[in-house]
Amino acid sequence: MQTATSRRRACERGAIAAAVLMGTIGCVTPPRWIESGETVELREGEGLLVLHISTNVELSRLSFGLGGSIQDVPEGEHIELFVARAGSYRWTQIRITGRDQPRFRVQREDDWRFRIEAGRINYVGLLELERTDWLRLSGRTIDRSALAMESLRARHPALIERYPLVYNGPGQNVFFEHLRAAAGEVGSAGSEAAAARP
Amino acid sequence: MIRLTLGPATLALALTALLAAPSWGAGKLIPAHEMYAAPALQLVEMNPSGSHIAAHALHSGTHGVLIQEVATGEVEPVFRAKQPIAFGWVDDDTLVVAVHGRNVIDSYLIELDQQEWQLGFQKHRVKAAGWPVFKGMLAATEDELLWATWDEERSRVYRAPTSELLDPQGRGSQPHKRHLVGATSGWAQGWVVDRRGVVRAVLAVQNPKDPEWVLRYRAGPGEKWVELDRWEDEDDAARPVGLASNDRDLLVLSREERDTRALVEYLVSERKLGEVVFANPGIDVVDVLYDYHGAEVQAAIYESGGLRQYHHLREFDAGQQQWLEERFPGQSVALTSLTLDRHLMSVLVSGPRNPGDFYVVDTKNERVLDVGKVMPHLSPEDLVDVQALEVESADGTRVEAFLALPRAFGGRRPPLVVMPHGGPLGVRDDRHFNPDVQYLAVAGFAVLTVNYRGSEGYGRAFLDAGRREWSEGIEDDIEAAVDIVVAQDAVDPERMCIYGASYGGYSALISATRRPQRYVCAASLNGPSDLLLVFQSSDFAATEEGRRVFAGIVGDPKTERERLVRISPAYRAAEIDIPVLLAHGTEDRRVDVEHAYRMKAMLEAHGKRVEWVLLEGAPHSPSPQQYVDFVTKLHRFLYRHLYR
Repeated sequence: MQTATSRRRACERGAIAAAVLMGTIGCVTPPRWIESGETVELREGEGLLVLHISTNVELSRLSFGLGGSIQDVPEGEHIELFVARAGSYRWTQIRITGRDQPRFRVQREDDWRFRIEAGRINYVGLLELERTDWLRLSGRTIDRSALAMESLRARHPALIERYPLVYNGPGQNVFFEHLRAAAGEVGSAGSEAAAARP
Repeated sequence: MIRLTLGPATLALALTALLAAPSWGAGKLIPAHEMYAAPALQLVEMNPSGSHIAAHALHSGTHGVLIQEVATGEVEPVFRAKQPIAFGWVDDDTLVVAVHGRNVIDSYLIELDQQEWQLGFQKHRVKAAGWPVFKGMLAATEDELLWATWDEERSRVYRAPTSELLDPQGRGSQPHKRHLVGATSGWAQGWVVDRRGVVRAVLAVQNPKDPEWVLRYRAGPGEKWVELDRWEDEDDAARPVGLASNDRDLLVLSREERDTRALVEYLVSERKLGEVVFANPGIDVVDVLYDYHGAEVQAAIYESGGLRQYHHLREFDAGQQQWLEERFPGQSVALTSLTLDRHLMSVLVSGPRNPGDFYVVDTKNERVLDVGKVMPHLSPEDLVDVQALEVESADGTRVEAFLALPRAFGGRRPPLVVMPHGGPLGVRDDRHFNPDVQYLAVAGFAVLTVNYRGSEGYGRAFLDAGRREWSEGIEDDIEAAVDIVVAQDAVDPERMCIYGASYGGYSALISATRRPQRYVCAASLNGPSDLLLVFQSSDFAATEEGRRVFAGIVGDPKTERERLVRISPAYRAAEIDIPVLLAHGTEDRRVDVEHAYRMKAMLEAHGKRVEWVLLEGAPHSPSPQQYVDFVTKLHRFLYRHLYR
């Protein structure tokens, strides 16, 4: 999982990364990276995006939508939180650091689409990129909701308390819905938002 | 004079030795690293005259080939490598050894040089690209090798002089095309060689994206290769294993027009199956045994009563098998090689308490030479026996189960660990030495394994009966086996846990909801907990075909979403009232580690007890060391809940 070093590097990148997230629908404001423990007041039409990525090669750019991109993603696994405009998105371009650009292979087209809902923490899956040799870079999205939730609970406890966690990546997911129901059953939360608290 | 001084490491070792072999008074405990150690002796084969034995041994991670002179017992190590190896005799004084590297196979020829008083040898590296075909190797002419190659599209087989393989002239360092004796598009799954060493048939798989299995044949040397048949389902394909007695038709393993896999003739001129050579109702033929040169089928192999059995095609061989089994009662005797005159043979004798002993048997003089043990550090006296049980499930389905009972622990009935296997389709348990069973049974736990519906070896209908039976028929079968063991008063019904890996882990978790009062604990290694998630995260879910196949095994997420959620252990967590151990490899691509995180999150949300073991870097099948670390933790967990 994320090391202290990679987390620090990710934090240093925050300002750059925050400037490049954008949506394909109604994108007017660059998304903003959220530091660990920081509290956020979401405005109308805004949601929180969990960017969960694992790569075995350093990336110079990870683009989605109409020109938006995240730059300088180091090798390793990272879970970061951004404020972004609600909308439908798609990863569009992946470039690795250096001159040689391997051919990118998408395992499943559906893996590249995700949504951001306003007023919620949107987990869209782990984007796993693997350079298998000099010529090929393959990618897939894996639903790691519970694993990501553990990390978010440790780093953003106030936000997890306040906003409901939902899954808006590829594939069917009933985990958060059942977790909310379980939390409701044991009576640890009243509101839907609080019930999503792990 | 040499003085012995103890440094810190030596002292620690000396003190450790004082604590070796703990015992509860009824047989010593065997530590996991000993029970799961790699086999020290992996294969023994005689040369055609029976003058020498070649053995594949493993010591401290190094694979080696040893040559032993049968007359004197003198041993000479002739080859060693860090990677796994395979070997075969080319002729009476030549061995070929293949070393399996990460992406390439390196081969070597070992030429023995028996001087009057001493065994010498020379080692030569094969420079030609490709690898040796071991089956039928001895049927080829002396100083020739059957040699296979693959170029991403076509499989080829050559019958090439060893001199040319050592110093190839052909393009791309393949043998010269004049030595080519067979070729097929696709990946050859096994070349069939006749008793003269002529390559006669092959089953090849073509079009990886939409695979087809193609049977190709030729009538003799110089004849044209023809396609005989083609199948879309691997399970329907007739797998050629040899030539029929008329030397024209084929012998194949096939399930066509029958429930179980049988040894059947394939009539070449009519392109259809002919006479059944051997079939066994309710039991599949799993393999065949070849005679000394590896070309002629000598016996059909099947499993019955939990042990491997042999149906010999010739009366003489059947008599020899019977003679052998009488000398090793209650064990399975497998022929590993035979001399040209058929008087000497090497055999592997194994059973529940015996990982394997290799012998050379002299049938003419009725002598048995002990060659070596597969796991010499384990003694059968310290291991426990395993008995087969016939079980009738709730709906009348009959299944086979196996019970290992520990030695008497002071008269009290032992606790039981129910251990469902993975799969669930196409996998099976048996009575042969199983370190999982022995590790726990030696430590004082009765262990029950069950070949529930869907298990391999009982025919197609039984295999298909396991489809879409997750949490239903499969678990009914397991529960029926537990009922029988409890009814026999063989175990303490108040002290029962269930543990499994992969599907077995799923079964353990869902069983804790089906019979909440039955078990006192449950443990899962790499078990799926959310069946919808499998369709999104598993490696075989990467393709449409993979998702279709898995939907046929568990159910279709598009049309059966509610049912899949209902039988997902994560969403039944509220019903689990026993301690649960969840263990998962972080690099498991088959059942993603997310399954364990979800199960843990749901159990914790319901206020349940969870013990958590993350196997860092472990894939779906953990490495030996990762597995030893895990089973030690599993042992502690079971001990805590079943013995305290």
